[in-house]
Amino acid sequence: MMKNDSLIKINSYLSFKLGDDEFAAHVGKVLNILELVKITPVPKSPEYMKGVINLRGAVLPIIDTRMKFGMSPTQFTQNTCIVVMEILMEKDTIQLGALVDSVLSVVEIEDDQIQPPPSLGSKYKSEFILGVAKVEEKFIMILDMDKVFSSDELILVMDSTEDL
Amino acid sequence: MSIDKFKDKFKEEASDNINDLENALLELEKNTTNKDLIERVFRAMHSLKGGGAMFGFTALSEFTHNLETLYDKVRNGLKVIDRKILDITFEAADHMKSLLADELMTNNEIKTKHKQLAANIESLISDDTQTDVIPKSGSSSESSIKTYYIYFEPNPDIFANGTNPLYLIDELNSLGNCKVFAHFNKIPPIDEIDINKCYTYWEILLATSTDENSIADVFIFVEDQCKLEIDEVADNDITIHADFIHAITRLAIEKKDVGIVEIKNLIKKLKLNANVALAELNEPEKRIESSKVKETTISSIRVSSIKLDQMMNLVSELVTTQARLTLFAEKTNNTELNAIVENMQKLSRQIRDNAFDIVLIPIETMLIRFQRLVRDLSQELKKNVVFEAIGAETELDKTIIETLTDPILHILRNCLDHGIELPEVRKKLGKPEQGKIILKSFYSGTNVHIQIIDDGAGIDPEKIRKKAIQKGIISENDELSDTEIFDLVFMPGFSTAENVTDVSGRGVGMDVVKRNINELRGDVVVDSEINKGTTLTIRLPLTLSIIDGLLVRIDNDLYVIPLSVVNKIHVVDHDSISSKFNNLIVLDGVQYSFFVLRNELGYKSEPPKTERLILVSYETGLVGLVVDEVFGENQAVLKSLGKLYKNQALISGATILGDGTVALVLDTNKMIKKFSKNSEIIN
Amino acid sequence: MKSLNNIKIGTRLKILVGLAIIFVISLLGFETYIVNKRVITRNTDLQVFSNIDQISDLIDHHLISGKAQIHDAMLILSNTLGQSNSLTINKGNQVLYTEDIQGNKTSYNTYQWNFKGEIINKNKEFIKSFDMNAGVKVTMYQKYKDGYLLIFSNIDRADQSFVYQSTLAKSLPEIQKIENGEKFETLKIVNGNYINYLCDPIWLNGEIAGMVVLQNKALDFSVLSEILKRKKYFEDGFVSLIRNDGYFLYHPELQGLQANQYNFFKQLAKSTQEQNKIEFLWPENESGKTKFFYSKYKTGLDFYITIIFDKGNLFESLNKLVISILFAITLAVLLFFAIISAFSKKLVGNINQGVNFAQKVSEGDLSATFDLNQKDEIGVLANALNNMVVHLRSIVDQVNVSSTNIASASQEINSGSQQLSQGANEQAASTEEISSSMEQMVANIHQNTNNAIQTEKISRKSSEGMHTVLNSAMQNRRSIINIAEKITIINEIAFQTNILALNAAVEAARAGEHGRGFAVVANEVRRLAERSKFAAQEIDELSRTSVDVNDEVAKLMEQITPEIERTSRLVQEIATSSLEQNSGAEQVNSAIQQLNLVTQQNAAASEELASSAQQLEFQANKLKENIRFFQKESTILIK
Repeated sequence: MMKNDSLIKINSYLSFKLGDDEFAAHVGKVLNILELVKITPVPKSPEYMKGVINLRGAVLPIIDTRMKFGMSPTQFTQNTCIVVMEILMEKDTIQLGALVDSVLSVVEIEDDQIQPPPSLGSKYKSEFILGVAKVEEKFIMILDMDKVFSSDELILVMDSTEDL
Repeated sequence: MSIDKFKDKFKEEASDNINDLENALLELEKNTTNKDLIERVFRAMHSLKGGGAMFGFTALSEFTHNLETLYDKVRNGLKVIDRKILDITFEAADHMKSLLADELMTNNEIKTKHKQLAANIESLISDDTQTDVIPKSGSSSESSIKTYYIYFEPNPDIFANGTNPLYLIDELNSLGNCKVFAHFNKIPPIDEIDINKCYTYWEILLATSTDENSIADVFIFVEDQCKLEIDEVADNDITIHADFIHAITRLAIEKKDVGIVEIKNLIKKLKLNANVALAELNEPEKRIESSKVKETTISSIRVSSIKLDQMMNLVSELVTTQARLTLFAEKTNNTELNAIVENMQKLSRQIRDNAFDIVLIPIETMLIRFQRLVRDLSQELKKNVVFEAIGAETELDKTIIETLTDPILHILRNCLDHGIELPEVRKKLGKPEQGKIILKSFYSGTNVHIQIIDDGAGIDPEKIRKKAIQKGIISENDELSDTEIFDLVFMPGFSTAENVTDVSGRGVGMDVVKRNINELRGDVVVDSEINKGTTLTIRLPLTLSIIDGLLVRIDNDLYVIPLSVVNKIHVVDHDSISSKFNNLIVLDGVQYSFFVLRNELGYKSEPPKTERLILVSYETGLVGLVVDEVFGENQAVLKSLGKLYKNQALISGATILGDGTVALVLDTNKMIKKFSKNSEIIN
Repeated sequence: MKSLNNIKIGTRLKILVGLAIIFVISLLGFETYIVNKRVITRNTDLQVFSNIDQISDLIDHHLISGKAQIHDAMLILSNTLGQSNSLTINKGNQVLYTEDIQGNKTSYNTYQWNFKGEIINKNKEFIKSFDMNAGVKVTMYQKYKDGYLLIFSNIDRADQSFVYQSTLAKSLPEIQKIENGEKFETLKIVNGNYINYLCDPIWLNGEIAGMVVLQNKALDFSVLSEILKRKKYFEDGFVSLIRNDGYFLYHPELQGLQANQYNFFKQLAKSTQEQNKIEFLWPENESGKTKFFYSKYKTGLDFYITIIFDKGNLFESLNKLVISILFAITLAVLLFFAIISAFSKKLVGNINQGVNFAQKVSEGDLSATFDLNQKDEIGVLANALNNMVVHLRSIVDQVNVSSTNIASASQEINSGSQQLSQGANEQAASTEEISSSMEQMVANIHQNTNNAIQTEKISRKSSEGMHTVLNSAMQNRRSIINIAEKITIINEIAFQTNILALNAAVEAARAGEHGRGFAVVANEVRRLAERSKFAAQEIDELSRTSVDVNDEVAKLMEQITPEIERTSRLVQEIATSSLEQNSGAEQVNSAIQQLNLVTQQNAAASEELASSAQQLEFQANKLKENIRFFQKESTILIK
């Protein structure tokens, strides 16, 4: 695996959809995309933690990204995917699977295309968003995946003043 | 194989040799005249010297050569082991380790030390005036062996008390070399035999270093039920003389009893007096010694731990694959295939168990480091401490032992530093001047408990409380039990020692200890009493990776309950379960408390009509766990749920089933503890 | 049997009853004879054996008196010898004896014995002074060393019936008794004589010095013979005593002879019984008479006591009884014949009168009578026969009248039946006409049925065709659904390819510059996957519409099919009912045929009836003729 330094230089992002909004994560964080498989629930755990799956002999925890973002729970469709990510958490690197409504594509976004997140008027908290880019006439929010998933808190991304 | 690989190999061997050397030295310290031990020290040095020369560790080789010369003198009786020699040898052993790591002595510090030590050793070799000899009671351990004649004739009705005389003879045998002559001439004709009576009596020659009293102690419970004579017949071990044994055996066959007089005559005739015998004695001893060495070299091989880890991983994969194969065979319903699969399953289970055994190593392996630590540190702190290990043969997974060494070292440091008081303080408190630290290990179910017990000052809960309040960990109003207070010790950034020493008390440590142990799926508990001492108990699972489990179903999810806790499975009606509000059920005439897992784990679906109640061991008794269905035995390769589920108390891990789905492994102990707290029904 | 019937009844009775009487009396006589013979034999046996016992008792009596005699003598002798100092022994004087046993001479010496001064040794005279019975013989012995030596005996050597020995060995039984101081007594048989033998010790100075032996005849046959001669049994019966060696101890004629040559003794010797009864011929040849021989063995004395007598004497009276029975039979038979002859003569006369009467009636004379003024069975028979003739007369009158009536009635029947016959013939002709027209109709119906069946087959085929069409539609549907399923797989593959491509893209992106080329390929793959996904979706939709169309067709077909099926069913019903009609017509036809047959049979039968009536008239006239045979008045005979 490549070192983080070299990954940062790459400006490719994986875009995906949650509801109607498009998001993107840096490919350095993304390990794999899986189609939906049966998830074994872990009792007495937070609701957004959907459970675990078998990833090539290892146990991978699955997180409902929508719920983590304060949206309604993910409806399982043909397009629902699991994005396996590598997250930095308390100095340790951990793997987890994030449920997304659909994966769109790998897009290249040059750094100068990225604009800082609007501090006002956005329904998402700016601390989790690295920036916003406009690709093919659509706005894509680039997320800070480490921040999004390393916290135990539930409603993180959604700005408390707004409702979805 | 390149020379580097050979070097690596030598390094491994050499560190083993140094370990052995240290071990022998520690024992030699207690018994400075033991020739065996001196021999061991000498041998270790010799191996180091030889290997070092061969693989280019010239400095090491030369250094060891000097030491060897010193011990050669000791061996030949030209020198006696004294404190000076021991100290320098310990130092030398440490230095040898450095030399192994840095063979060219690039580090100046090592170089200086090397020169200094070499000089010291040289001077010791040339110094013929012996000072500071450690006195030792019983001038010679070997010549203290005496031969006793024992006549033992139990009363005929000795069996009535349930005494088996053969056990007594076995016990004698354990005291030393033993020659037993059983006499059957008092056995009546067969039609008169009363099978409840003992007709046999014995004459025994016992060569032992223990005295007459302890021989008599063997017979303490039968003293008034037998004729017993114990007499010393020789001041050395005469049982090793073939001539004598031959003669006496012939006598025993010819005559009814040999008798003490005959034996004494024989001894006189064969001139088996101590002085004469001594020369001969050495001969067989040596023979025995050499055979022992041979045995140890054959019985084990060295395997790199990476290979072992790989093997364990492969075994885990094998077990999982086996489960898939079993599942497939069941579906296929082919009898021939089933038979093969069953066989495969048996074999893979054996392989698994064997692999476990291989990676299990005794706690003993950590001991030298602990002993050294206690020895060095107690000297440094001017405290008189003895370290004792009980149950060191207890075995644990290699990875656990590796992870465990540092935490235990830390705990020991704490004990020495804060626990054991200075001799003067102890004297004032009416305690023996010598403090004691015990490392006690034992199995408990599938767990291993390791206790570090000291008889030191103990922990004052009030002090901890104050400190915790001071550090803002708890508030003034918090009411905590003693156990909870002791648990505070493991909080990050907590140290109670008034003076922070360089040994411990830096406040980092105990939290790391706890974290390390938790990562091994274990936990640690402190118990203490002021001025009496502290006991720290570490509970660990026997192994990390594979467990035998019982596969059960709750709603649509599969769970594994460790088979080691499962006692019995009952079929119960849901109605009969749900009608019991107090969670108590009577099965086979015994009352058990139980938990319906589907309720406790938050399942909302409709329960089946009949359910299974699994009785599992919990603390001292049995508790019932109700599940929907039991599928059967299952070998679970335990996988961690990962950091995200670190707060998950009920689940000890997950396992991947044959069909690729994930089943969760329940930690029944924690689970029941938690449920009982919730329901407040069990304690 | 026939010959027996020809013998007159009287004679038959006589023979039967006579034979019966002879048989009964003979049986009675024989029985009496047998019983008596058995009784006599048994009584005789008892009587004879009791006689033998009497004789045995007599002999015992003789024995006892002999014993008494010898004991008396011993008493006298011992008393006399026992007088004080009367008996002495002079050891100084010895007496020499020489014994000669068949030429073997032995000599011995004895002491001299004195009795009242008189020498006893060899002195036969001294004993005479004792008052003793002359029949008693005395012998004295002296005890000497190992035995006893004779010193005195009054037995003559010639007297063979007694015994004495000069020396007696100690081993002898008598000596052993004497040595014990006891008496010894026995019965010895010496040369065929029965001798009482009694020994007693002689005591002298408290010691046994010797012994006295006394002997006398136990049985004196001269005396016994006199008694036994007087005994007579059954006229010529007598007693005899026979020793077990066959010697006649006593016999009225054969005294002293041997009996072992005779058969009866041989039989006796073989027997082991104590009592025996033997039948034998005497003299022992064919002209000899049969004798009874009764015997009883006298144990102690070794002889048989026997009684012999003639068998003929015993059964004389019995033979007389047989003769008198034979005579009684003859007499009884003769008497019976006489009585029977007298009775039968009267009985036969009456019967002959009846026979005459029956002969008259058989000739047609119904005026005959049989009068017999008797109350017994024959009288009753005569009355019954008379009544019978009276009844016969009245019956003949009635028959005569009836037969005239039958003749006229049969004439009427004849004419009626001829009319019937004509009518029946006409009916038969008309039924034949109906039958032919009926057959025509059946043929028409048959044609109809065939047509209906043909139609049914056609309609069934069309229904089956409909089904095939429907099945094809279903199959079509399945195929399309199959295609749809396959499309889903393609869709799935497209989806997975998409994900793979995405993964590849991620991987490529992570590789940075090195992965740029690959990223392009991955994107291309993704696009292809997307295209195939859309194509698959299109196919999916197309197949969906095609399924719908197909379903529509199938639905229509399903609607039409039952209509066709119903038509087919109706046609089938027509076919079935016309088949039924066909069989019904055929049944009617066959019924008419049957009717035709019956009508013709009717015609034939009525013709037959007419001819029968004619026959009847003829027969009635014949009957009238016949009845005229009987005489209606007792005096007029019509012949």
